Amino acid sequence: MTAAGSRAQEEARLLALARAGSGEAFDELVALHADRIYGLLLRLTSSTQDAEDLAQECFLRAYRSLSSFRGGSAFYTWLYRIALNLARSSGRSNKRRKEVEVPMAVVAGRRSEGGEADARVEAEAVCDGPEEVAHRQEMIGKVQEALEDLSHDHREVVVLRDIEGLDYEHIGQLVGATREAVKSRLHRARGELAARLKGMGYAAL
Amino acid sequence: MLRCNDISGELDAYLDGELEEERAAGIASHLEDCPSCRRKLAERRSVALAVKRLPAVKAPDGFATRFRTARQAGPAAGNTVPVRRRRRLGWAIGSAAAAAAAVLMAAVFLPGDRAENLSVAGDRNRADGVPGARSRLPGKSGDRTDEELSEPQGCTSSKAAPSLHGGKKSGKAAPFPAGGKEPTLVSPPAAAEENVKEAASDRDTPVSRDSSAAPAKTYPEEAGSGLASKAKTPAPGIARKPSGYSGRGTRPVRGLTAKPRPAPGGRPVGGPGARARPRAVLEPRPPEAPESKAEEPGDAKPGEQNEGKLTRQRAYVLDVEVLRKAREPEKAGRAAKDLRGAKGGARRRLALRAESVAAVEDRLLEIARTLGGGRLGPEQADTALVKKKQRSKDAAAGARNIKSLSVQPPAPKVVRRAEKVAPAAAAAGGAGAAEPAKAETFAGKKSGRRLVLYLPADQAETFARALSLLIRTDVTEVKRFGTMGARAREAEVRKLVDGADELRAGATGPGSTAGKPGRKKETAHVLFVIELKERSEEQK
Repeated sequence: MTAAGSRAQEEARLLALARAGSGEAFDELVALHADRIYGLLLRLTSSTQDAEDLAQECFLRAYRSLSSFRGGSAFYTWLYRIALNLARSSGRSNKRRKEVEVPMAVVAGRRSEGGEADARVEAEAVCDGPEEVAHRQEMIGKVQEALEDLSHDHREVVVLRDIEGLDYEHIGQLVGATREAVKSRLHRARGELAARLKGMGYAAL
Repeated sequence: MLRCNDISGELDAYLDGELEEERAAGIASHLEDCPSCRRKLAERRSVALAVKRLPAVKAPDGFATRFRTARQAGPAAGNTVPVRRRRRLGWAIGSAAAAAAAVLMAAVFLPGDRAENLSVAGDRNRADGVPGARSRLPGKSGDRTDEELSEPQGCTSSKAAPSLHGGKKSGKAAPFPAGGKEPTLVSPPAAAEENVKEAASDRDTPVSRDSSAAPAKTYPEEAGSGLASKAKTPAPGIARKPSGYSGRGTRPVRGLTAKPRPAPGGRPVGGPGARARPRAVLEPRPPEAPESKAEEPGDAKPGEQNEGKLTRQRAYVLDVEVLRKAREPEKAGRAAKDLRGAKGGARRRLALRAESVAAVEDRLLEIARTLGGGRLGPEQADTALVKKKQRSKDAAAGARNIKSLSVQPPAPKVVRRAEKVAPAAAAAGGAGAAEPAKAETFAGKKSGRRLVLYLPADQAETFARALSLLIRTDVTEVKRFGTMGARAREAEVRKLVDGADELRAGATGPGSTAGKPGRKKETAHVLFVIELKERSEEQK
């Protein structure tokens, strides 16, 4: 059995237990998804404190409403939807913040499920000297800044597509838009991002 | 042959593999002949890759633990306790009166700028009718509480690394469930399911992360946790309320001398027409809470039968976290919205259980401390009350207007004792006041326990609202509460508290001037006097 399949089975088992009333099982589900939901909210709010607050709230809401989760979608999709609505309703993404710092330790590792690109980034980080790492740090800071400058709608689709790796159909269902709308929104968002990054002197453009 | 304008809007979709094969082939053909479009595509790819390469983020340390604590303070999954819709008149009056009193006192006695701030808060509350009793606020457009909880249909997992190359739509892999299929619910072992059903809502038991043991895990900690056996304070004859208990039948607050009074703005406060709807949310119980297990709430499922052994009852308390946020200016708006029971906050209305006098007292103290206040020891409190009573004679007319809200002064006997003991207690550094046992006697009645809390004046309104929403329990009766004294300067309160570290407001409270020599401005405090009393069997 593949790792993904095993994880899916484990998640399904925990979900069944949680729905039967086991809080401990739900805690394990939270452990499985905490990084993902927190990461999503951090990108959307640009504030570690807000992201944690909203992530906690997201999981609490999910826990209390577990009976309404019918299993028609993946569990994390359901969590995403709650998280996105929380981020939107909190209005915390409208104000640009400078709270997100990129610790050097995490520059080396992108998402664990990212495949080759992640491995490449990691390899580069390992091989690079301090100057290269510092340069990369600066570039990452610029990308984050440019991302924070986007409107919430635009940032949402960019994060869901480029960071979370969801397809247009899926994104549309999460943000309540048609596939065409997502396509158009993403096109505009990337255009804005490119312009901003160029303005900031982003090296790769 | 496609032209550049035809494809410029589709380059991103092409890059993401979101185009039909035929269309993608057309664009690929165009790209072969068009260096300009190739540059645009490269730029888009570069942007997407830059975002994708942002470092992974991990949830902060302790996130899961904090979540578990919050979860355990609430009801079981899918078992949200219905919101209490109505509140008895007594409480409505009490909350309105206490909040109004705090605001008015502060407005009268505080320095100008702070008083103005509080007045603004008061105006806002008046606009709502009854402070803390607003039933619903217009939600933001994004407040789609119900909608967000309904899952999107047909969503399948598709979280995979973006190809960033033209690819087929259907070629996306899913991390889980495998192959993009939706997860199949695997039935837990029968024993596990049985155990879970029998389990009490949640125990604070660490869960092993050992995945190898996971498939057979049955959470034995939960099974047959024997809640009844954990209760050490039996209260025979107390029938538990069903989980849907609406809170009706709340006993009126005894001894509260407040009458429905028009608010300063002229609008009637409280009364039968007031839509009193308390804000009650979970209160994460800190692990270091001093109360014994028997008094600790949160172990029983709502609706669980008492069987004559439990004293677990319902009480509604404010979320300490919300109050904490209320101290941070940038979050104050959101916290205030929560406090008023706005749309989002309604879902956080949860019941807590198992309140004894000691537990309620502990909660009140915790909330006060969260807001930068603290507690006065019984001896010091008596002294403070006497001082404040004397001071109130010289107070401005505004203070006299709220006279009826003040608690009755302590019985003369107690006052005399306090006057005698106070110098000795002060000499001993207030150590004697820290004995909880001493607090159990009040005015010669052993069953009552009086709690005198001091709050920074700018938090008084919040605390008054918290008080009004706090207690509704069949175990404990709040005999009376009110504010005493118009204002206690920081220096005065500092003399009265049990230990220097008790006065947190002096160090961290908003507007504090501690550590700023040369400035005469001091934090003003409001004293809250709360008397808790076990209900008698007849009352129960």
